[in-house]
Amino acid sequence: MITEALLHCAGIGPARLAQLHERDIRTWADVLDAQDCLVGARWRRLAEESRRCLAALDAGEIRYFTNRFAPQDKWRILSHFLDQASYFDIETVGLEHDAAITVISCWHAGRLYNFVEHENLDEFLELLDEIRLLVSFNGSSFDVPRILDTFHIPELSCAHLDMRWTCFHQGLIGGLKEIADRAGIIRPEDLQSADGELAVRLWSAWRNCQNGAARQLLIRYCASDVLMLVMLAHQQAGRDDMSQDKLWSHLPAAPTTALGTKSSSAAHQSPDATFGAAFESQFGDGSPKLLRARRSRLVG
Amino acid sequence: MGMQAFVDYLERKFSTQIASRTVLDSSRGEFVELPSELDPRLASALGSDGIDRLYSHQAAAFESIREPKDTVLVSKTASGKTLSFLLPILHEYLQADAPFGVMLLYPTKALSRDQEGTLGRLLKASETDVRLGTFDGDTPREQRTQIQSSADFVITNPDMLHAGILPNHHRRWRTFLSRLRYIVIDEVHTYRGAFGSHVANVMRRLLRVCEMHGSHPTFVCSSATIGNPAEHVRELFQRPFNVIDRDGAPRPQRDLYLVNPPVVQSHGHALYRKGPGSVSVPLIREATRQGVRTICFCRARQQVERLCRAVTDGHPELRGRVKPYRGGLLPNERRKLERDLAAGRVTTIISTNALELGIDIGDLDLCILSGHPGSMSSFWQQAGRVGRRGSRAIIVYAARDTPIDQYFVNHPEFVYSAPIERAWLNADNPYILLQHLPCAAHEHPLRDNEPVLAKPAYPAALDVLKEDGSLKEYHGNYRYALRDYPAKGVNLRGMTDYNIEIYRGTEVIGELDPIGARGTLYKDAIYQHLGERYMSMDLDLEKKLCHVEPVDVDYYTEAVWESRVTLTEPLDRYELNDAALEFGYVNVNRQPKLYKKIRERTLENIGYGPITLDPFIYDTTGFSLHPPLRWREAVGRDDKRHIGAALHGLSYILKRTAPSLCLGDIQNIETDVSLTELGSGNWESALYLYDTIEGGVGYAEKIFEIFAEALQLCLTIVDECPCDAGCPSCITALPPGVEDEELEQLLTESDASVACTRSLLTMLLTGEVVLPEITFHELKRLTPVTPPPTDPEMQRLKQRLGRAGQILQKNRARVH
Repeated sequence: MITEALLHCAGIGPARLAQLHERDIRTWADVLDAQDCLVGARWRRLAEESRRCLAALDAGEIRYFTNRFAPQDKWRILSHFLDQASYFDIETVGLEHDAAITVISCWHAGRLYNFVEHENLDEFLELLDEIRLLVSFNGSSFDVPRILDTFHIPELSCAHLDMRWTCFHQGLIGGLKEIADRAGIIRPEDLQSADGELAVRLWSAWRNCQNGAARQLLIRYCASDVLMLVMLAHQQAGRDDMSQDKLWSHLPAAPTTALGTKSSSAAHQSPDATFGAAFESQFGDGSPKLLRARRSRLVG
Repeated sequence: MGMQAFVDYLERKFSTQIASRTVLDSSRGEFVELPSELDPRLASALGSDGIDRLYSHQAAAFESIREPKDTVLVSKTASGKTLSFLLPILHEYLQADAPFGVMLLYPTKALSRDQEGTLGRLLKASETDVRLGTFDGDTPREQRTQIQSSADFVITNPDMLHAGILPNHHRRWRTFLSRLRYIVIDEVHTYRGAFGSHVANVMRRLLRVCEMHGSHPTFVCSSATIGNPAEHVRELFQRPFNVIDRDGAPRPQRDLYLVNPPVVQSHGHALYRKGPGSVSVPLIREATRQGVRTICFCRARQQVERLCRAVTDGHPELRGRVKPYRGGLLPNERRKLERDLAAGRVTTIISTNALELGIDIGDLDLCILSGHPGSMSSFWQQAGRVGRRGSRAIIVYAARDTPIDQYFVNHPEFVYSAPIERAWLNADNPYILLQHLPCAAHEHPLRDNEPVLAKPAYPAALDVLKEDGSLKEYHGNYRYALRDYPAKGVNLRGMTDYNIEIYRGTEVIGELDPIGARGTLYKDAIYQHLGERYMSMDLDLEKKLCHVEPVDVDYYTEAVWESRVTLTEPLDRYELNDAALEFGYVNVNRQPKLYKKIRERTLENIGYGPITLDPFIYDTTGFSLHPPLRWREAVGRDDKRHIGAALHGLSYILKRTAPSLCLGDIQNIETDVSLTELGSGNWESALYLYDTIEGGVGYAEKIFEIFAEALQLCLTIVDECPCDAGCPSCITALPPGVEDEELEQLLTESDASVACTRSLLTMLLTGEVVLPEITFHELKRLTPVTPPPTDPEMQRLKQRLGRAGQILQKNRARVH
């Protein structure tokens, strides 16, 4: 229950929270009801905060909670506002912290939206205006700053919640794919071995060789991460109304043409291997590190 | 005292050449007690430095800055400027509950490094734990993070502020900017013209960002003496300033000697005037022998090296004590020189105007100016280098054989009567504003109404940027819609933002900007560095490097430039009393064509060589003026040269008048008289005026629009000038750029440049042809002074002794 979040109130730590629970004070409403028997400045502040939280809940100010809640309580926001949550992920041209965005995928109101740089990336801002709660994985240190820098806006127009940390406080530690694996979420076969590194190569193939299949696969890869996030969120909130199959059906189709420029049978190989070949034909045996260096030179 | 002995030497040795001696204003100084509220820690730190009272201007600054008012200090070099602004700030810093941020901006990196030392010492003396850091292009990466997160006093420069600090204001610089209380800007007079307009916009961006982070810093500036300090800072920061311009520092007696080297007869019986070296070399030697601390200013870097060599050649004992100091030295070399000077190991320094700015080199007694420094403001800056400790100081001005120098040396009253140059800038220059708005939007979306950005330029510029898609509306504001880093594409200082590195073998011995490199580092050029001679083997402008090898020759090289200006694409034209004015894109082509080998000392021309470098080409905007045919014919009937005289004269005065009308710096515009082919074989000379910044910044455009006004101003200056026959303040007798020998002769023998220019101005303004009335000067018979016959016996003996001395010295060096 979202109303049970009390840890962010000034002066409330785990010990005091336990004391409150002993006295059967669990929710904001409980705090306000018990006001008569609570004295002192600390309790006054607790009551004040509870009143504000209730008001914010009434007004649906999600940002009030994302800004204030203690990390351990943030999962409550997700559970409560699950129906209003939208999920997103980005891919970038490189692995550096200031690399430019190439693709944004966003699950919003039961639909998947994809945005590609040089095509429609700016339209993400319009979608953003409709969103009330934006959920990401590791977004607070990566995706959100990248969004702010790319569009040169000072802040997001909606509340943001980073699932990496809600998971962390639930004991789910690691990357998204790792956690999803443990949660029993099975990715489509062609994306099993895909990772951020591949996304970088795919983008370079699309931009440098106009390889349409690479573009398609890149979007598919990015979208699959977003869908996994949706599934994970529902699992965490204890809701099973979102079946995996139903969700995966939203995923853009895998490219039918070959990724590599030469053999058409390569489409059935793992994309990484296929792409590796295409990549090598383009850059020689350029290691990812070399690629990174080359790219930072290009950008610089 | 030692100074008297030196004065005796000077007056004896140059008795026939001293044109005048002027005693400059001296003052005993105005002192006041230390402010009673001054923090005791600071008072005791000052006390241990021997300071128990303040100059009156320091006290006035203390009051003003503490209030806090935006304050500008106008003072001469060496009047305790650093203390003036640091004392109130440190006082407040010590008394404040929480530490606050202070940003110190210096125009150059060299100055920043120098001031870091000075500041650091003062901070240490006050026994406070002040965190001070220099953040510029040379700051190592690991130090940057530390400065960003913890420094309270940050020294930087406008370029770094523009491209490094402001774009990161919301992350790494947030803490510092949110508690920024003072912005100290030293040498504020250097921010003028196009550079000043850029800096004004950087400041607007800084203030906007500060407001966002909740800070409202106070400006504290210092300026050298310029014609309009109050107006200048108001334009630069768009706010009124409290001006403190009464200098309370004591000034000892300072004697200004104007020395004109004699006219002598060469072997070919032609008369020529000896160079300023004939004055400065013996003076420097004598001063060094007597231990008089001396600075000598030259105009160019290689001149510095040559003079240094001339002084020490044949006088090896002086080599350790006379040193060149100039831009292009490596930082550690420069710092070593500064240390040696401070410690008294070096007593004489030969410098370019690099030392005009406030680098602290201590007390000096003698200043030699080798020719006019180019502006009165520079003249006073350089002269102000001496006489700070209260002992008598001497300034010697050695004139070159140029019209401006000769006028100066023959009219000593000009020192006081000549107006000091004013600094101009326009923060709303459309070209410059348009470059900074994207940077501002990149930092934070722009609002329709920005307090720091003025109407009507701002909304108009905003529309342009919305139109071209750089800005897009977002939640009622305008965000930067492109993906690049706009600050990177905006260079505050014009075109040269990189240096050519000079290699000897694998070691870098110096650096030089690319335009300078074309003129001094072409293949086979002689490059002098700290007294060593090198020959350039190969200049690679692409790779930005030049290889040099040591050589032993007795000549130096000088490039001969050729420039061509063409109006490539006319955009607008009109006629002014039958004169055709045409504005448009201008192509400037400058190229060093060949070099001369000139023997040192005798200055004989001993050969030529070709320079094969690509021309230095840039496109800019400008306009041409073709004088009316009627006037041309009428004036040309008398003497064809009168047309040229008028155009060169107008070119001279227009270049010096235009900055006040277009609010630029004199270096931002150039005028040129150039032949233009009208039809086939029909050549006609025309006057060109163009921006010297690539792409143009609208200065020529502005003058084109108000050309009649500009001409009227020129005419007023000429009419009101009290001189008889032209002077550097109105139109000099022989304007630079005259190449034709016959014209040169006419100009030097008469007042043709003023008379003809006046005729042209009248024509352009009224449409009336008034023929120039030219008066020829009564030629003073110059009596040649024959140099005393050299005794060949003595000469040989001296040479032999010199050689023997060198051999002995080498032996000694080997033995020890």
